[in-house]
Amino acid sequence: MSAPTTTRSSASASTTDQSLVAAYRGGDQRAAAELVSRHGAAVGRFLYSLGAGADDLEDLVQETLFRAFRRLDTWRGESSFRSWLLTIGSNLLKDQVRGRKGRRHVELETQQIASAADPHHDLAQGEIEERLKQELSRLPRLQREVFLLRAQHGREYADIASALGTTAGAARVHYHHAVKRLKELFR
Amino acid sequence: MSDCVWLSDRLSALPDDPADWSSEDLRHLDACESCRREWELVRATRGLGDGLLAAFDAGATTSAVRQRLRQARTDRTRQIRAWVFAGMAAAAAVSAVVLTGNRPDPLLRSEPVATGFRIPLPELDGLQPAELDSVLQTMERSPATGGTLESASPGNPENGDLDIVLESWEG
Repeated sequence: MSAPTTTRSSASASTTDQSLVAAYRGGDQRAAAELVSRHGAAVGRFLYSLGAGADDLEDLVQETLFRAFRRLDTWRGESSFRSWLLTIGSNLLKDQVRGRKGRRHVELETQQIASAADPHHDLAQGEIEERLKQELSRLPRLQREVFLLRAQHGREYADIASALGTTAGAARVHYHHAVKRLKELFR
Repeated sequence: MSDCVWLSDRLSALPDDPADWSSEDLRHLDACESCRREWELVRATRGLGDGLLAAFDAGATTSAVRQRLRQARTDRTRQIRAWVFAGMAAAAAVSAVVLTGNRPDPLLRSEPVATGFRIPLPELDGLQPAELDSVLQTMERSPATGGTLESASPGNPENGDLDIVLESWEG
């Protein structure tokens, strides 16, 4: 399978991230490098899944990390560092899309995709990816983010709730709604 | 087909590779179509952007972010200095206005403070200068109070010198 998502327990990962953040605040630049190494690709994958264009991805990842390091003192550990970081990226992408008046969403919709009329058609990986991105873009924003944080990054519902400003119960419902809709792609 | 939540509820705890799953987990996946489709969805989601992210350079990204942070600190320092300078200039201007605006002009005569303390003596307003001198000489020779003008209060019933002078003129 692809690049692994986290399978470590949230507690140990967050403790380690907390140590790195504390070290960086104390002036240890290597801690910053470790945080980027640990979370940078995940930020890129998340933003790409949210609809970021390939050409913008590198800049968006840098901007997300820049904003995170500038306001590192606002991360108090209520959510995991990963979830907090991804939320910053999501808000950044939302602002960018708003500034471009939704042009990005128009681009996704005009891409050529395999017909969905035949559910037994064995879609190529690239086609599956494009179909999945398109279906993700049609989900409500909160539902889309809950789904990605859970399915793609293995976050616990409580962590997701803390990061997105909702409840664990609501996050679970959002996830199930998203799964029900998206897994039709894999009939 | 019902929507089984077995996989959904365990997702964060399951290893990425099903080869690392327990036999119970594998049996369920084999038997549950809903969870199989969900697992396919999860795998595809985790693979989004694989081609792009294979070239992700954490070192280059870290350097770029550090550079931006340094630049942001420099910009912030310059901005703070600019604000401090502007504040000091404003404070100096205000101080100059206050100091120069409140200083009394030494050439201006101040209004007399005791305007209300003038003692009206309408009886004397019509006297000629020679008559006024005569009144003063008479008051200065007064034995009761030592002849001072301040003690010659026209309204003081115990000092009748001025009254005596006035009676001599009026007849």
